[in-house]
Parts: sequence; structure tokens; C-alpha cells
Amino acid sequence: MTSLEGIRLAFEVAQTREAAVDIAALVSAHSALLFRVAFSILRSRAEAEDVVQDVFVRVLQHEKSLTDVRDMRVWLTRIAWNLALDRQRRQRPEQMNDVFLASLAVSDVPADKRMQHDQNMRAVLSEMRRLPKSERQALLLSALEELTITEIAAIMGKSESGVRALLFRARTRLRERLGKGHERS
Amino acid sequence: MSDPEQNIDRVLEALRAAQPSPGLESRILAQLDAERQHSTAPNTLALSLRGLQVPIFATVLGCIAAYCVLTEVHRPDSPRGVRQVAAMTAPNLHQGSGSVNLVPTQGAKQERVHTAAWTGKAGVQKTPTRGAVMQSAMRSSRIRKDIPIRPMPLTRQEQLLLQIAATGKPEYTPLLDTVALARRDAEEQAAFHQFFQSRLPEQETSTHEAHSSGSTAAATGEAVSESHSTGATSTPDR
Repeated sequence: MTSLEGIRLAFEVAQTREAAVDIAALVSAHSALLFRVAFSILRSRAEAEDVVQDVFVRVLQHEKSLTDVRDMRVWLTRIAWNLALDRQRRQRPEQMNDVFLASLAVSDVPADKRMQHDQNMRAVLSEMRRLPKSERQALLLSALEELTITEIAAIMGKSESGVRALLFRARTRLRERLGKGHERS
Repeated sequence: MSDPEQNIDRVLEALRAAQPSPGLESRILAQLDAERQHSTAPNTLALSLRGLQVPIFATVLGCIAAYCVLTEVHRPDSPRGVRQVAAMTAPNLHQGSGSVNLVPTQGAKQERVHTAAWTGKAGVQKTPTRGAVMQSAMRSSRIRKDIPIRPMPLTRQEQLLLQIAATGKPEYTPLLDTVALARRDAEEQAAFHQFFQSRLPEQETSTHEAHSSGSTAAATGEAVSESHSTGATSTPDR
């Protein structure tokens, strides 16, 4: 009885160690990408890091089914995207933009140009938020330059040509809206 | 490049250039270790119950066994239960009174069966067996106090007593009064004794007279016989 229990405990410890090694490798390989994915939506460093932690906690909860995952990078990016969207719903957009715009601020220009710059950045962020979901996702994921079109297509569940079309439409739409706003101002 | 296009690229470049804080990976790994320990740490309740597994199991087993034994004992047709009832009623059987101490609530029918088993009038059982007594005792022991008792038909003696009481005749009233009956019996007995005591001296005198006449007759008979004997003897003298 005791020997059987000892064997079972040793087996569980061995399994746990193996899973820990795998998850540690996943953390070191994908945490930066996942952080940028979350940051592109949340525009907050602390919130993005919390999302990355949540992603790996989910991974730990599903560690027994990790072998069934075909593309770990795509799977993790999808989890991070969804968790970031959930977290974005609890935030005010002005709060996110203020934090991000502080990092985009230029210091070596006059005050009037600095204000104009801030307004332009705020308009870009606002129009990006107003984009359709799929266009925004394609634009942000492709902007990271770490994911191929194939990977983005796998994350979004669309074809590569569909992703390219979404990218083109998003860029065109943004340009048009920002141009109209620029003409008005 | 137009201004909007420049602005878009600038924002996307800023998003792309964002870097996590240096200790992010170590923090994530520490968080994962904490989560793993929390999920795999044995519960204190489970640990405390692990030491009590055997006593709890033994207690549960004992409770089940006690329940089974009690159920078996209290089952109406259980031989163990019959044995127990027999043990309770056995002293009454061996006292020689010939009656089992039963609760008289089953009714006349059961009493008749029980009496027949004892007296042998039913013809089925000549002598009262222990089994019959035990079964009747079990039947009576099954009766509970909370079950209402149905009215049973009166016996013949009870019906007669009811008729006597219903007539209301004064000559029958003393029959229902045991004290009056006893007093009347005592009076009758006293009158009986008094009658014979008053008649006893007369009987004694008559017996004396009869005795004395008998003795004279015997005396005369002796004389006759003597005369006969003398005559016979005297005949040759003639």
C-alpha cells in the first residue's frame, strides 16, 4: 500500500517537473510576443503583463492537453488577444490613450507642434478603436512584425487572402477618416 | 507620405516597440509555481481525514452492522426475534399458571386460538408447543400503542352480563355486586350450618333411642333364643 502510494507520488512529481520545464520554455519563448499583443490593445504595460500572466495560468490549467495543441504560438496569441479584449472592456479609452500618449510625446519641438502631435496621435488611436473588429485585429497583429500572414490567418480563423484584404481595408479606412479629420481641422 | 499615414505608422511603431519589464518571465514563473503548489497542495481537511480513515470506516461499518442486527431482531418472522420473545416469556410458561403474559388487545379470536393451543380443543395441537406460544407472543408484541384498537365482539359471558345489567331487575342486581354475592353466600352458609346445628341434637336423641331399642330387641332375642334352647332341651323333659 505504502510502496504503491510512493510510486504514484514519484510519478506525479516527475510529471510535474516535466510540465514545469515545458511551461518555463513556453514563457521564455513567447512572453514578449504575448506582451506586445496585449499591449497593442490595452496600451498599458501593467495591464499587458497581467494578461501574459493570465495566459500562462490558463496554460497551466490545461497542461494535460498541451500535447494536443498543434501551433503553440498561434494558440497562445489567441488566448492573449481574447484576455486583452476582456480586460479592455473594463477600461476607459481615455485612460488608455493618456498613458500611451505620454510615451509618444515629443520633447524637442515647440508647444504648439507638440499639441498638434498629441491631437494627431489621439485621433489615430481613436480611429483605430472605431475600426471593425477583424480589421483592427489584422492591422494590430501585422504591425507587430513577428507574426506571418499565415499565423495571423490561423489566429483569426480566416484565409491569408482574407487577412490581406482586411489589412488593406483597415489601412484605407484609417487613412480616409484621418484625412477627413485633418481637412476639417 | 501624408500626415495621416505617418501618424498611423508612428502609432504602430510605438506599439511594436513596447517591451515588457525585465523581470516579467521570472514573475510569471513564480506565479505559476505558486499556482501549481496551491493546486497540488494537499488539503488540510483531507490530511486530517487521511489519519481518520480507518476509525471512520470502522465506525460506519459498526453502524451498518448494528442496524442490520436491530432490523433482524425486530423483524416479525425472525427466529432471533422469536427466540428473544421466548426468552422473555419463558418464565411465565414455567410458572405452571398455564397462561402467557400477553397484552389482551388482539381480540377474542386470537385469545381463542391461544386458549385452544393450550387446552387442545382445536384438535390441531394437543399440547401447547413453544412455537405456537412464541408466535402468539410475537403477534401480540407487534402491537403498538399508537395503533387504535378496533372494538371486538363480546364473549358469551360478557353478553349475559350485559343483558342482566340492561334488564335492571332488582333480583338480578345483586348478581353483579360481588360484595352482595359474597355476603349472600356467607348468609346461606351460616343458615346451612345453623340448620344442621339445630337438627343435630334431635338426630342424636333419635339415634340413641334407636340404639336402645335395638339393644332391648337384642336382649329379648337372646332370651328367646335362650328359651328356644331351653325348650329344646326341655322337650325331652316333657
